[in-house]
Amino acid sequence: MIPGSVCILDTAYSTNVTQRYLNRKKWVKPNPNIVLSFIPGTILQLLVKEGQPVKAGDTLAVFVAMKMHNAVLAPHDGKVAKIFVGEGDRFPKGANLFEVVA
Amino acid sequence: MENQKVEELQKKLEEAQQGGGEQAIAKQKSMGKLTARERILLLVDEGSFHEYDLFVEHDVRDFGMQDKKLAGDGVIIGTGTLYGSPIAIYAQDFTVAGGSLGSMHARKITKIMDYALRMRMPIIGINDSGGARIQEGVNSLAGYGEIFFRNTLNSGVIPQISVILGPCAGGAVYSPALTDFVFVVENISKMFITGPEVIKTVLGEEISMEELGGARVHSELTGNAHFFARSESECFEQIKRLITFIPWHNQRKALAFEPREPKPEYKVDRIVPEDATQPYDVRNVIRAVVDGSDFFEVQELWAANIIIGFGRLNGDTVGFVANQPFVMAGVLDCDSADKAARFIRYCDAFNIPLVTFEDLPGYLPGVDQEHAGVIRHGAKMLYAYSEATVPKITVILRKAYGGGYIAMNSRHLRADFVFAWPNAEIAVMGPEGAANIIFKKEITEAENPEEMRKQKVAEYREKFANPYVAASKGYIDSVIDPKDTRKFLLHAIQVSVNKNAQMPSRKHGIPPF
Repeated sequence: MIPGSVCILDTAYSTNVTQRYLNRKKWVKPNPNIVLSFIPGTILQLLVKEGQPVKAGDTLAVFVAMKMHNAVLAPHDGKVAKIFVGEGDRFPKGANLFEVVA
Repeated sequence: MENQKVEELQKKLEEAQQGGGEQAIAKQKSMGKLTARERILLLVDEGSFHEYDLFVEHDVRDFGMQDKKLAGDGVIIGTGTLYGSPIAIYAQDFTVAGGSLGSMHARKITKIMDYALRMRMPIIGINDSGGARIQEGVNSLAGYGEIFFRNTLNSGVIPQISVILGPCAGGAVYSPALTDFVFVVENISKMFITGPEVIKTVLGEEISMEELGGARVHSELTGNAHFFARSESECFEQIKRLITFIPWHNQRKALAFEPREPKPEYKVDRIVPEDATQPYDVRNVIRAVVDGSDFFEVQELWAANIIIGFGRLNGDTVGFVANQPFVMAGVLDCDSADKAARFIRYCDAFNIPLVTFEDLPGYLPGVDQEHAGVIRHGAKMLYAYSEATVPKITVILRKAYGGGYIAMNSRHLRADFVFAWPNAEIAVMGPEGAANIIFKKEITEAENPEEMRKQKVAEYREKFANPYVAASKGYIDSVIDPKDTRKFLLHAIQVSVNKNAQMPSRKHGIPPF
């Protein structure tokens, strides 16, 4: 534990700080155009190309996770602006997969 | 003729007590581990251990198992005494087929668990097992299920203690998780649902067993373990010490000890700094009031912003819950609320009175906390305090702000006695925050806003940040001289000895877990 301070309602208290507190991730506003992975996996098949128009619910890719085939769906109508992964790529949880611009 | 039969028995016993044989025992030793039998003998009173089911054999006829004789089917069960009182114990024997759990192995464990419940004695389970015995298929899973079910039946009736002295992986981890206290030893204990191998294949993440589920991980990060030791012998000392503080079953009180005065080096009125932003170790306040300054801390390394543990007042065991300003300013957060709530329920189930020392600035602010469910976790604490019917005493040492004031065993959750030290600050929030809101207009419109702010903070502190407003409503019973804290606690415990409080009749409540 590292000595430091914790600020609560305008008052800074001198105290030791836990490692977990130091490791906490800063929250960032999610970009609704970016499709993130919700589980780690491997891309099996890409079904769209960059620049291709898609409708909400269209399957963008199929990936394998926990021995199951899963589909990545388009979040809304628009155009595939960017594809961050290729077939056979392994990705962790929370990775950028697609950008779909409305 | 008779002698011959006795000799035959002796031979059978000796053979069975060899466990997995010399080679397997040497391997166990090379890992720095004791054998299952050595562990039991170190734990119970000398000469008191009596073993059962030594001749139990598995009945598997597949995968070549029919030719394999497994001594005691990989687990030792029995009863003994600890400080002269009865205790049930089982120890998985890693030298026999890796301590793997088959149906007879499980049946031995559930047998001793049933004994323990029927005889109302504590049960200690020593876990050292590679997991399910794969050759036994679903029978092995059935065995785990039978154990978990009994862990739940026994919960809150007899103390259940788990000691992890080797691997404890997959489904097996849930038996310790259901018990009251889990003991782990550095470099020996390993607990996880899926091991490093599987994680690597499925997720591509590389991690060692120790980093994934070692003793330190479970003591500091996950909160699965309650006691951390560097060696098996230190671990056994911890178990024996814990046993002195807890009752043998839920219809009894913990054994009373000879009353002792706290050590003079702990001066109760010299520990807490007056400046509310300055930290101190609240454990010293506990040591300053308990018998012999002897405080036995539980979950020392996890969520250290709240302190829980046992001490004695006038010879009787008391459970302490205290905010720790030394770590994270003593805030309540998801983990600390969870930690305290479970301990409060333990004490309530086993007739151990609760003493709460309060000094907290509130709940930890942050998106991560809110999104981690601090509402749900914080509610556990309110639930646990409200539900507890054992004597409940609170001492407000310094700060008692906002939701934290309510949560820390306030009068409103039916605390029996609430005391406050004279420099206690009891308010909706700290003076700084409060002044900034109430006097926002005055401050921003002032010629010298900073000067005005200081003035208004002081005004608020003067008016509200003291114990007398709460005392005038009877929310606090007495404002006390810190030096009299022990005197007031002893008396409060003494007069609540016949406390009779009941919750409405129901099957069970629905706590937020």
